[in-house]
Amino acid sequence: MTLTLIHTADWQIGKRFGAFDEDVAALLRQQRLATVAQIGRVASQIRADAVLVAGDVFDSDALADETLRRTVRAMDVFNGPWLLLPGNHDPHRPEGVWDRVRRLGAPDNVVPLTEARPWLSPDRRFAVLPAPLFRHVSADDPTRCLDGLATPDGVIRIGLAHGALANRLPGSDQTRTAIAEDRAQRAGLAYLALGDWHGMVNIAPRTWYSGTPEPDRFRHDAPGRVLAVRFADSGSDPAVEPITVGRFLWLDWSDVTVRRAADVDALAARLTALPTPHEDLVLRLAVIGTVDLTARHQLDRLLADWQARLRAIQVDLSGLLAEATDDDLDQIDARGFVAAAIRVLRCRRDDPNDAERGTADDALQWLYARHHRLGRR
Amino acid sequence: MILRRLEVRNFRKLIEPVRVDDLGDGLTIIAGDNEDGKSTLLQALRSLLFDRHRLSGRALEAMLPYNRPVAPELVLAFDHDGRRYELKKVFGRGASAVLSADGVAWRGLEAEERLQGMLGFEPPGSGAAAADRHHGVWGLLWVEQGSAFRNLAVSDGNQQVLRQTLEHEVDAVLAGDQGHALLEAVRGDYRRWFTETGRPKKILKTAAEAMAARAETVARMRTRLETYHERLDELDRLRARLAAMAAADTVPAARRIVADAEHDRVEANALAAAGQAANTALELKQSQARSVGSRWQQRQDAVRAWDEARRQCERVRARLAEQADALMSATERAETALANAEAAHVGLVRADAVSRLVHRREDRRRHEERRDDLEQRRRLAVVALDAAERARRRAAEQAMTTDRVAALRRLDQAARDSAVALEAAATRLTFAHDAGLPLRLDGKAVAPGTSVSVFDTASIDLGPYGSLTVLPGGGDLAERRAACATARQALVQALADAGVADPDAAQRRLDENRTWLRKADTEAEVAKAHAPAGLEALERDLLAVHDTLATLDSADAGFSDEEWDLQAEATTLSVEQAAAVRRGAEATVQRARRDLETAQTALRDLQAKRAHLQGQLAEADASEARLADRLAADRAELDDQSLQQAVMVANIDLQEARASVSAARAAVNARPLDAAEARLTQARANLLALEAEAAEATRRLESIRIELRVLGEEGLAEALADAEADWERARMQAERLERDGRAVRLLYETLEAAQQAAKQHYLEPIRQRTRRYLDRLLPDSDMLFDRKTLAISHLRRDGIDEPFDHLSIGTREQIAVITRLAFADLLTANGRPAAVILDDALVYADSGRFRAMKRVLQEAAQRFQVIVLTCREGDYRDLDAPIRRVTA
Repeated sequence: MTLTLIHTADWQIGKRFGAFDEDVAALLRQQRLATVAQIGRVASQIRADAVLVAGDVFDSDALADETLRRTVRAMDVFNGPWLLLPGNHDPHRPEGVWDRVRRLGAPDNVVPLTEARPWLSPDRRFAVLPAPLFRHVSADDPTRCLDGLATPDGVIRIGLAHGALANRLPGSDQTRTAIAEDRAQRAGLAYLALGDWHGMVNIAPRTWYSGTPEPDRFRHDAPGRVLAVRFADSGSDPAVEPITVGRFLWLDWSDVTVRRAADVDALAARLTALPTPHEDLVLRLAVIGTVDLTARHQLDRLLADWQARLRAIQVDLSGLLAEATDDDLDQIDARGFVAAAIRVLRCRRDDPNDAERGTADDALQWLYARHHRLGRR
Repeated sequence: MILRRLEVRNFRKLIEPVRVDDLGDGLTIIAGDNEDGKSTLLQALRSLLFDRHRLSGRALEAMLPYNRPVAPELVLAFDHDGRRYELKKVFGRGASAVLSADGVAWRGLEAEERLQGMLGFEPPGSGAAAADRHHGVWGLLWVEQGSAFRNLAVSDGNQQVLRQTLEHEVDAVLAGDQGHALLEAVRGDYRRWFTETGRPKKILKTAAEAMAARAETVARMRTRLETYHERLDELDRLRARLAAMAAADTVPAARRIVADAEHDRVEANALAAAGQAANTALELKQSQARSVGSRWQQRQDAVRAWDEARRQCERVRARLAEQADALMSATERAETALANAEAAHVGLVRADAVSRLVHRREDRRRHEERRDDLEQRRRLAVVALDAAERARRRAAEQAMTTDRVAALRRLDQAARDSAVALEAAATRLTFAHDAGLPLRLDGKAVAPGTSVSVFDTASIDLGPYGSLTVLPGGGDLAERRAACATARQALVQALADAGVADPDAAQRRLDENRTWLRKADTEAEVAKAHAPAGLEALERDLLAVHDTLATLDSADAGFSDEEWDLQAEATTLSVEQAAAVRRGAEATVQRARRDLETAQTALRDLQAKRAHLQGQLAEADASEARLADRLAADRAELDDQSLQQAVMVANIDLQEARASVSAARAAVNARPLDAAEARLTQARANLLALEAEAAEATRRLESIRIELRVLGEEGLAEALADAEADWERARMQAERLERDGRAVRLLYETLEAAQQAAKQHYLEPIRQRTRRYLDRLLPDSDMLFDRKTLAISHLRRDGIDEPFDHLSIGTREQIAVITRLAFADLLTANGRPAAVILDDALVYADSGRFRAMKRVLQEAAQRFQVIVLTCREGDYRDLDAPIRRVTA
């Protein structure tokens, strides 16, 4: 009889998304709980034997009781075991978040694995060997204890841990928890379910990161999934199947260069080609380059238009230098004293010794914008 | 608009047709005598152009000739925009209006509306059009008689026309509507951030406060979250500590250590008591040994002291013997010095006496000299006083005063005046008869050529020819005669009283009198010079000197023989020599006294030392005897040998006691009591601390559990994340506001400054044109205009701005005309040809200004039409301009 487990991690429940507007942030928060319920529905559908959550169920160990209760309630849809591992965001401390979950009346099938002690399934077919974290930051390999954890013969040994796998993850913080890359082999594990990396990746033999089921950041490939891990028998390698459960697609366009009006048009075309529905898209857009005010004006209008279409756009224009060119300023029907004022401001902007040269440039841009608003009227 | 022809009929006084045609582009003079209707012609032109043809009521009546039921008919031909127009209007009965050009005609209201559009004026709703409101710019350029000196009342409509023209010229400077709209928009932005006076509004402060409030919230939340984590850490530590304590069995072990320490302390206590007893025994032996040893030491000291006392007696006796010789020779030296001092004193007394005698001699000589001087001055003073007295007496003999001389002169003058007056009234007879004729006047013969004044009836005997009686005719002759006699009598009497012959003699006597008085004063001055305090004082001084000399003489008479001897010596010495002799004697005395003092001091020292040695000897003898007695008594009690034996026995006992103490001390040192007590105290403290720590850890653990449950419920991480997001938003908002505020301020200030600079040029076109004409009239002057009303505000001359109203009426008239010419110039240059009409506009100009203004008109007429209405045709003849005459 096939053993089927759901491997998930990094729910980060309670994350506030403060960089977004409050209504967007609230929606993103609510969605994370909705996705937990979706995981429960998937687990029920595929008749999973257990759901393994490899750490960072919570974004912090200081969340409100309300948040903890909602999380437990979201798990109602699956009455099999939910095995929850403390991660670096929600490490186990006496009287900490996990003690509070227990005290708030979590049902029996919701099991915080707060000790490095095997959890044996009721049918004794598999044992989950947890490597809980007790600190936010630790350089020790938390899975070292797994090597010595004994289980009855014939039981499938499943490791459950949270941290960065040594030498494997590009760009990860190697000073943090570093899990030995051959831990699955050393500890005789049929499968090592890992959390911490928010993208899905098969990182080593029988070792996977499931990634976060609902994206919460712009980095990482292939988030928004859980893994269905199936064992035909105790000796074989598992079959691992990604199942999409997340709603929002987070896109990171940090490479957009705009130098002229044509680049703005190209960006418009790229936006138009985005997948639908647009309200499920969260876009980060970092624009760099130097543009004249005309192009800048076009860009502003384009972004304002797409702000209204997408769920959210985080726009970073700090790398975009807008300069009032002669052509821009010529558009202002500037004669007489207005032209004289523009000349003064341009001189100041172009004078490297003028302490207010930046302000002079802002003033020119303001004038340009004023001129355009008057023109529209 | 350029006027070409005007025809008027039945308009006020112009009943018969009047036609003024061939009006040129430049200057035209329309001449006519007073009452000929020049001004009526201008009124007709205004009515024709600006009044509606259907005008009725009072406005119509004002046009009609007096008491004539006719209809005014007016025709004007003019050029506009390159076309020739003809406008004809009939007012009143059969009213009509026709405007025609190039064969096209507009009639009635249409004609008037078209005209209105072409010339740019607004007719009134009803009634006659007013020049300042309804005649458009022409109301400004056409000047009525007698109003040229008034300032220009530029109506709103005209201001608009002129401004449009001005702005057309200076548009590039003023930036047009677009520029104003931009400035207004930016001003609106500026007002969001800053007040009228440029102070920042609350917007920035509010944003900063919002940011600060949020930062405070973040800090508070962070602190609470940190507290939460610290409590979790502390809880970990406490649990670990309690577990470690339980595992190590810490408290029971500490209790065992306390029991061991208590046992150690009991044993150490016993050893310490034994040591104390040995110490007490040792102290007793030490006391005994010290007592015996001390007595033996005292015995030896007493023997040594007795020996020393004996030696001291011998030493003092030897020193007394040595000192006797020195005392004898010191006594001799003191006696010699005393004798020398006495001899020196005698010498000094003698020198003193000689010095006194020399001084007395000098004193006498000085008194004798003074006596001689005083006597000499007394003689001279007496002589001078006598001379002064004689002079005063002479002055008294010549008694005469200035007043008296003046009175005599007045009387003399009165006598002369009365004689002259009498002479003037007398009859003058001059005789010019032949010498052969024997004439007699009042009986006295009269020679030919004689002139006689006759004051009273006189008879002239003409000899053979009978006689001639002369009766002088003056009415007051008798009074004058009496007055003359009275004055003469008064003079004679006064001269007799004064004892002089005439006033000059009196003056001479007065001069002599003054001369004598001056001499008396001079002599008195001489006497005062010799006797400043008076003769009596001088004589008193002289008597005093005589007394002093007498006293000296009597003193000399009392000299002793010895003094007479000294007198002989003193006679040979001067005062200085005597003083030198005395100083030598005084030095000798000083030296002798010092020598005496030295010798006496040495003697006194030796005597004192001797007395001291004698005292020492007595004391040494007594001491030797006392010590000998005491030693003998002590030996009698215990002899030297017994005493030495007792000392030896005591020392042996002491050695034994010391050995006992050393043994006891070694035992105590091996197990010291204080160390045992310290160990016990430490062990008890450790036990207490461990028990307290365990209790505190347990209590704290419970307290933290409760605190963590409370903190945990608060959702601190979520609240902090929300607060941080809030803060970040507030920070960005504040930064953006501040940056935008800076930009808006700079933009607004730059635009304002640029506009202010531009406004300086706004009226430049008018100023340039007025300058062109003003240079003819008032070189180096300038006209200033009110930017709002365009009226003339000041005339600037020599750097001084004179208000328009303060100028003379002539200057006001001239610069107002120039301004109109400048406006017409401006309009013409901007494609709106204008005509200026001046009705007797330069009546207040003097001839020089009038000539200058004519040149101005001539120059202006080069560019636009100028029509001058005047009654002084001749004044304009030299302008070479066509002259049209108007005749009513």
